[in-house]
Amino acid sequence: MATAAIATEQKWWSGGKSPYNLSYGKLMMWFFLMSDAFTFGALLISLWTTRFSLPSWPDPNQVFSSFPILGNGLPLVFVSLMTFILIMSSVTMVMAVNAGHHMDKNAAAKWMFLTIIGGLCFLGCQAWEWTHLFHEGAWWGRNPFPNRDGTVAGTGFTNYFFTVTGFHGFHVFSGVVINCVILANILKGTYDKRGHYEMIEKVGLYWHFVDLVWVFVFTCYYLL
Amino acid sequence: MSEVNTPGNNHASESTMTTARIWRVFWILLAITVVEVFWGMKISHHIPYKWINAVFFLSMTFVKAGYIVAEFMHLRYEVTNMIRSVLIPLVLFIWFVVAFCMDGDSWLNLRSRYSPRDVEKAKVEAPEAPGTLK
Repeated sequence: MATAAIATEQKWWSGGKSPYNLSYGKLMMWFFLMSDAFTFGALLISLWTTRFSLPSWPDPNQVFSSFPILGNGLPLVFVSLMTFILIMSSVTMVMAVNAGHHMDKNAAAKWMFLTIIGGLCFLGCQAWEWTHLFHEGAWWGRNPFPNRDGTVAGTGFTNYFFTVTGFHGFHVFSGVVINCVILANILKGTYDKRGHYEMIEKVGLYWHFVDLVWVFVFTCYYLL
Repeated sequence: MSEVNTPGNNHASESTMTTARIWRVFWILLAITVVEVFWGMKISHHIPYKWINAVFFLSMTFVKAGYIVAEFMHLRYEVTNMIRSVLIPLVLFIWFVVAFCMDGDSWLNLRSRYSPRDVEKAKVEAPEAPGTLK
């Protein structure tokens, strides 16, 4: 093999070296996230297809205008809080990854714990939103909200809302569960023994993906 | 010499991610969200064409998505071909969105032309809904 002549050339795919300089687990997480992106994309695009096929749709400023304790008349405020909470938890997750790079067990545990709290707060908010809408008469198959032009709306609005936010909320929930497992492992010292905290990076990718999906759901449902 | 890439050998991620950069991205994301919500609450109603709102919200969303993917998920600092492996398949979304939105639009036209019952049903006025803004 003419290895001397091509010593400086990167031979990515000839074996003995991980392509892209990434471990198997991290690369597979990226590919899983791409597949999940298409799943969420399919849900949101079918939402748009339905919206385009109907002459009118409920106004999100009207539907999503309440806040816990403070009552009605606050359009989009609650969902903005939810968005802020999720973005914050993404930041704490990056901090946890950063702490992992420095092999700082205590800092990694602290930031991971804050990320879990953020995830639980988001789930709590989503649960409140669902309960509130349910008490207003909304559910799969039931839509009490009128269209923007004043006509009776079909059930597409609520069907899509509960399906998309439910699927997303399920991802947040599973992310919280996984983060708890990782936190337990951090505290146990598993990653110190392993010599690297790459597991935090991998679950970090999943967590950021969940945040990313929320950014798109927030835009499609509440803003547009 | 074969260099098996074990985790932890990836030094690219260590030097570039500083606390300062992380917080900077956070403030950018927060600012964009605040602007989006303000637009959605106050400005969007006064815009003459719906597509202007759509363009604004979607471009802001893509900027946020870009920051999250590039910085938080660290994609910007990966090997170039790895970045391409992730981003190029997502180009399919362009066709995906255009095709299905055109599909939906075509359904609307077909319904209005061939289904007078649907057209009539869509014109029924709704009673006052619970808990909404007046």
